[in-house]
Amino acid sequence: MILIFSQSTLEPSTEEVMDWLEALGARCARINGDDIEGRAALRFRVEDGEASAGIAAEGLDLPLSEVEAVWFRRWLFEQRHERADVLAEPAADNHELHHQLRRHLGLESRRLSGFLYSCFDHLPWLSHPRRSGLNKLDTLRRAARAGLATPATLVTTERAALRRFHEEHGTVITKPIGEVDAFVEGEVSHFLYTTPLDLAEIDALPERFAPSLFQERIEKAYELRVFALDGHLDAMAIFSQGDPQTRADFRQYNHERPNRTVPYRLTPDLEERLRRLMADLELETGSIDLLVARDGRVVFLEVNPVGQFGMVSHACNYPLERGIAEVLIRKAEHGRRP
Amino acid sequence: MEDGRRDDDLFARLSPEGKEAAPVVYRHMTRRPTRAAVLRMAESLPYRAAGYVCGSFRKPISKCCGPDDEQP
Amino acid sequence: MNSPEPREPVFQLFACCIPVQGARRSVICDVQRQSFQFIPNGLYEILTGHAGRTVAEIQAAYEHEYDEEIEEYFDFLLRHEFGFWCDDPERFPPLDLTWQAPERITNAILDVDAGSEHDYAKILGELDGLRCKALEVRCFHGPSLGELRAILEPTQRGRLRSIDLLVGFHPELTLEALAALAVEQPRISSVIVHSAPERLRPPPSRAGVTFEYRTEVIGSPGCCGRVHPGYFVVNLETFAEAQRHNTCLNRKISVDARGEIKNCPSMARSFGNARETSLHAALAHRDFAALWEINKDRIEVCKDCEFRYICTDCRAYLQDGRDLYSKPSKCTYDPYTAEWLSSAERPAFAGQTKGECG
Repeated sequence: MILIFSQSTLEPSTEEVMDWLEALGARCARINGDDIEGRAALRFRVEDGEASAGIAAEGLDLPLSEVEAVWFRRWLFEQRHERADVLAEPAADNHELHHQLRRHLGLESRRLSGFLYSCFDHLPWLSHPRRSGLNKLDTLRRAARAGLATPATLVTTERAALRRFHEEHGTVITKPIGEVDAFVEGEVSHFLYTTPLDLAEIDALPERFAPSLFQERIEKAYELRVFALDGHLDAMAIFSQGDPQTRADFRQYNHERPNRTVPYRLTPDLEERLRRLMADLELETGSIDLLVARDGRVVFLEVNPVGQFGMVSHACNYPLERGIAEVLIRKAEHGRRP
Repeated sequence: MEDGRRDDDLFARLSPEGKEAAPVVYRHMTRRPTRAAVLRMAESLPYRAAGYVCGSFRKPISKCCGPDDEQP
Repeated sequence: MNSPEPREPVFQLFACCIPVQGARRSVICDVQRQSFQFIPNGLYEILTGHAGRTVAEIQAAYEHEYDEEIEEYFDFLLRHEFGFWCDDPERFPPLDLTWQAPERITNAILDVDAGSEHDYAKILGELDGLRCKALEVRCFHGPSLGELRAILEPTQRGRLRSIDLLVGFHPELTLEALAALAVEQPRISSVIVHSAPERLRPPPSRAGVTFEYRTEVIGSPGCCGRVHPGYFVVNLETFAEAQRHNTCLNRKISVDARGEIKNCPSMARSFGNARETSLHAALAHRDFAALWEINKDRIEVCKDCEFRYICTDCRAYLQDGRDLYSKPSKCTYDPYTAEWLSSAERPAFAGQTKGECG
C-alpha cells in the first residue's frame, strides 16, 4: 500500500494521482496534516524497544505495517493554533507570553510530524520532508557547479556594496532570500514580489539595512518550468504579454489575455546539467524554474521539491500524475522485494 | 485593532525596529485585492479531502437546449 | 544541430493554437484561451505546408503574387497572439494529443420524470464506484425542492466534482431557492430550468454557478442531440479526446427515466435495469463501449467540417437512421458551403414527438 502525506484542502494533484494509482491497481491511503491536530485518533506506542503506530480516522484505515512506499506531497499549510487566539484574554502586555505559547505549540507539532516520518524511514519515499525546504542560495551555488548559468547574486547589508553591484551588472532586482509570501490584511494583500531597483531607489536606502538579496535583472524572452521525476524532464515555456519577439515595431497587446503556456523541448545538454543538479540536491522530483534570455542564454532560477505541477501537465498534456503513480508503484514493488 | 492608515504601504506602518529588521524587498511590496475568486469545495470521503475542489465539467454532457441567438 | 550564424526568425504557432481544415474554410482552435477563429484555407496551407519557412521564403513559394496578403496574414496571427517570431523552432514541439483518463466512466446522465422510481442511493453509489466525476440530472417534470434534495443527497461526500441540473419549472424553484441549494451543494455547477413562464439569465454566483430559466419545453430525451456553436467546446482535454473518440458517448453511462441503463437515454439499446443490474455489470457488457470510438473523422460530412474537433456529436439522432456513420440529424451546418440552414430548411427529426421539444 502506498501512503500519501498531503493536506486536506485544495490538493487536486493528490486526488489525480490517487485516481491513477487505483486505475493501475495499487492501494493507497492518504493522511493529511490536520489529522495530527486532533481530527484523527492517533496512537503511537513505544514499549520495550518496540514501536507501533496506528491512525484511525473516518475513511482511513491505516495499519502502518502495510505501507510499502511513501509520497510526501504536502503537509501542514498552517497549524490551527497559528491563527487562533491561544490566550482566552489576549492583551497588549502578554504579547510575549502569547508568542512563546505559539512557538512551543508549533514545535510540538513539528516533533510529532518528525516521528511520524521516521516510522517509515526504512521504506522508499518520493520526496522526503527533510529535503522539502531547500535553501535558494545554496541551490544557486550547486546549480553553477552543475554547469548552469545563474543570475549574478549578492546578499548584503551595505548600500555601498549594492551600488558597486549595480555599476557592474546594470539593473538590479531584489526579492526575499526565502519564499515569496503575501501578507493578507482583509481585502488587501501585500506581496513580496521580485522588484527592480533603479539608482534613485538604491540611493534612498539607508547606509546599512537588514541582509537582503539582490540579483542582476536579465531581459527575458520567455520562462521555462520543468517538472523532473526520476531522471525524466518535462518542460513548458511561458510567454508573458509583450514577450513574443516581434519582427515589426512595438505592438499593443491586450493585457487581459493570459500568458501563453506551451510544451518545450530541452536540449540534451541542458537536460544533462539539470539532472546533475537534481542528483546533487538528492532530489528525485521537483519543479525547476528557468528563464531564456533575449540573447538565448538559459538561466537557472530555482527549484521547488514539492511545487505545483498541475499547470504544466494540463497545459502541455503531459501525463505527469500518471507518471508519479507509476513511480510510486515501482517503489512499492522494490520495497516488497526482500 | 487600531485604525491604521491603510493608504500607506505596509513598510511605512512598521515600527523603527520593524523597519530595521526588514529586508529591502519589504519596501517595495505590491498591493493587490485579496483574491476575489471563490472556489467551490466539498468534502470527499474516498479521497479523504475536506476541501475537494469542484468545478464544471469540460464539455456539455447532454445537448437539449436550443441556441440563444440565431445561428452565425 | 548548432549553427553559429544567427538565423532569420520564422513564424511559429503556439502549440495551443491548432489549425483545423474544413472543406470551405479552416479554423484555428485556441485550446488555451478556449476560443476559435476562422481562417481561409490559404492560410491553413501556409501554416502547415510552409511551417518553418521565413516570410520571404513563403512569398517566393507563391511567386510573389500574394506578398501583401501574406504580410496581412502574419499581422492577423500576431494580433491574435496565435504565434511568435522564433529562432529555434525545434525547441517548440506541437502538443501531444494523446488522451487518457484513469476513470472508466467520466460522465453520466440520470433522467427523472414524474413516474420514475429510482433508488438514488444505489445508482449514485455505483456511479461513485466507477469513479465518475461529472453528472447531469435531467428532470422532464418540475421537481419540488424536496425532490431535488432527495436526488442530490447521496452525492454528498462522494467523488462527483460537477453536477448539472436541467429541471422543469416548479413554483418552489425560485432563484433564491436555487442559489441557496447551490450553496448547500457545492457540486452543483449549473442549473437550467426549462418550461419556465419567462426567460431569465441572472449573472453567475460568486462561486461561478450559472442559473438560467428558459421557456422552451424539454419533455423527453428526444430534445437532446442538438448541434450549434453554443455547444462547441474548445479545450485541450476535449480536443485530444476528439482525435480518437466520440466526444459525446465516450466513457458515458446513463440511466433513463424508466431505470434502463444505456449509453445515453436517447439510444434504443438497454443493458439492464438499474433496479436489478449494477452499472458496473452493464459497463462490462461486450457491446457497451461499441460506439465510443466513432469519432468525427469517421462520420460522413463531419469529417470535412472545420468544427469536427470542437463539436460534440450525437449518435442517437442521425440523418440516416440506418447508417451509423451519418451526420447528426439536428446539425444544420453544411461544411461544403460553410452555411447554417435556417430552421425552416431543417430536415424532419426522427425520434421526437410533437410538442415535447422547443
